[in-house]
Amino acid sequence: MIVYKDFLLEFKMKDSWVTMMAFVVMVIFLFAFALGADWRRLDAIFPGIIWMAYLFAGILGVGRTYGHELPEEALTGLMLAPGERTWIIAAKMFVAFCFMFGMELVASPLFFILLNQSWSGQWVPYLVTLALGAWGFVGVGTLLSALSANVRGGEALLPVLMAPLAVPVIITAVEATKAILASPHQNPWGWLEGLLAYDVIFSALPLLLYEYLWEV
Amino acid sequence: MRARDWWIWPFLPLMWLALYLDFLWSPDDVQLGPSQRIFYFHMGAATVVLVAYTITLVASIGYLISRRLAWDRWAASSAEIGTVFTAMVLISGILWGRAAWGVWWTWDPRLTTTVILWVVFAGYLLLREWSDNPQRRALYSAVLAILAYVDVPVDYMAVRWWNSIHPVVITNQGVNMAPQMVVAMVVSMVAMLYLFGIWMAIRLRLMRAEAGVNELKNQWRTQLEG
Amino acid sequence: MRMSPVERMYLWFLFLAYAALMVVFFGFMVRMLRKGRELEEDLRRLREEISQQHVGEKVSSAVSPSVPGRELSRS
Repeated sequence: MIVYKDFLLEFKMKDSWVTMMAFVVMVIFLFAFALGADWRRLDAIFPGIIWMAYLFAGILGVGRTYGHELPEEALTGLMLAPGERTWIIAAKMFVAFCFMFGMELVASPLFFILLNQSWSGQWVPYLVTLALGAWGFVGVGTLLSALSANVRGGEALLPVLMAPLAVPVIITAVEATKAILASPHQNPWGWLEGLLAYDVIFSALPLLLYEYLWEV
Repeated sequence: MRARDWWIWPFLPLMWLALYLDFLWSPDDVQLGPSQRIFYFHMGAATVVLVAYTITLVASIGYLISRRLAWDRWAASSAEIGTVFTAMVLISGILWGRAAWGVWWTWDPRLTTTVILWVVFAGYLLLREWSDNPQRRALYSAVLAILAYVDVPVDYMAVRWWNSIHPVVITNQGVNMAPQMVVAMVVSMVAMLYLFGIWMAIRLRLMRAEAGVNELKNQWRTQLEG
Repeated sequence: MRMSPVERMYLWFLFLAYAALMVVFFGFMVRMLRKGRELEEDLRRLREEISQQHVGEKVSSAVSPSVPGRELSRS
C-alpha cells in the first residue's frame, strides 16, 4: 500500500501541485489588492480570507484527483490491482490530504507576510485546525470529484456541489482560527470538535459509498 | 379515466378546511399576533420536506441495493418536490422572521442548515440534469443523495443542540402550543402531505412515461440498425 | 397585540384568496394527472404498434422507386 501511495504521489507531483500553489498565491495577491491598504480592518476577516483561499485551491486540487485518471483509464488499472478497493480510496484520500495540507502549510506564512498580519497564535491548535480542515475538504471532495469527473460539464458542477457541503468546514475552521489568532487566546477546541465530527462522518460515508461508484 | 383518480378529490375540501383553520379559526398568538398564522404553512411545508427527503434517501439506498430504475424515479421526484417545499419553507420563514425578529434573514444554525439543504439538493437536481446515461445518473445521484441527507437530521436537531433563536415547537415535554393551534397545525400538515402525495403521483407517472419513451426509442433504433 | 376589525377582514380576504388559488392549483393537478394517464395510454399503444411491425426484417430492394416493395404489399 505504501508503494501505491508513493506511486500516486510521484504521479501527481507535476500538474496538481504546481497549479494549486500558483492558485493560492494568486488568491493572496487578489485579496491584497481587493481589500486595499486598510490593514487594521483586516484583522476581523483575516481567518475568513485564508479559508476561502484554501477552499478554492482545495476544490481545484481535489478536482484533479480523478480528472487525470480518466484519459488513460488508469482507474480501471487501479481496480484490477490486487488489494481491497477501500484501500485505494483511502490512499487517494490520503494523497489528496497531503497535498492540501502541504499547500496550507506553505501558503500560511505567505498569507501572514503579504497581508501584514503579525503571528500571535499558538502553533499546535493552528496546525490541528489546518489538518482537520484539509481532511474535511478532502473527504467530501474526493467523492464529489469522482462523481463529477464522469459527468458532462462536471468541472463546473464540482464547485457547485462542493461549496454547500463544505460550509460546516468553513464555519468551524474560521471560528477556530479566529479563536487561535485572537490577541487574548480563546479556546478553539469547541469548534475543532465540531470539525472533527464532520470529518469523521464525511470520511466514513465516502468510504462506504465508493464501493458503488466503481461500477459504471 | 377520471374515475381511477378518485382519491385526489378529498384534497380540495381538506385544503379549504386547513386554510380556514389557519386563517380564521385559530387564535392569535399572545406575542406575535396574526403573524403566527404563517407558521402553519411553514410547519406543513417543513414536514413535507422531512418526508420527501427521507423518501429520497430510502429510494436511493433501495436503488443501490436493487439496481431498479423505479427506485431512482422515486428518489428523483421526491427530491424535486422536496426542494420546492424547502423553498416554500425558506420563503415563509423569511416573512415570519421579518415579523417576529425584525430581520429578513440571520445566520442562525437552523436557517443556515436549511439553506445548505436547499442548495445541496439543488446541486443534486443539477447533477441529474447534466448526466445522460440513466444507469450512471441513478447511481451517482443516489450516492449524492445519501451524502446530502446527512444535513437533514442536523437541520432537525439544530434548534435543540445549539442555542438557536428559531422556536422549538415539538419538545420532549410534548407540543408547545395552545390546543386550537395544535389542531390547525396538524390539519395543515396533513393537507400539505396530501398535496405532496398528489404531486408525487403526477411526477412519477410523467417520469415513467418518459423512461418508457426512451426505452422504446432505443429499442426502435437497435431494431433499425440490426 | 389585538387585531382591529379591518385587519380581521383582511384575514378573510387572505383566506378567500388562498382558497381560490388552491382551486386553480387543484384544477391544474387534476389536468396533469389526466394527462399522465393519457401519456401512459399512448405509450402502451405505441409499444403495441412497434411490436407488431417487423422493422428488423430485410426487405428486398425495389426495382425502381415507383414499384412498391414487399413492405407495402403485406397488409
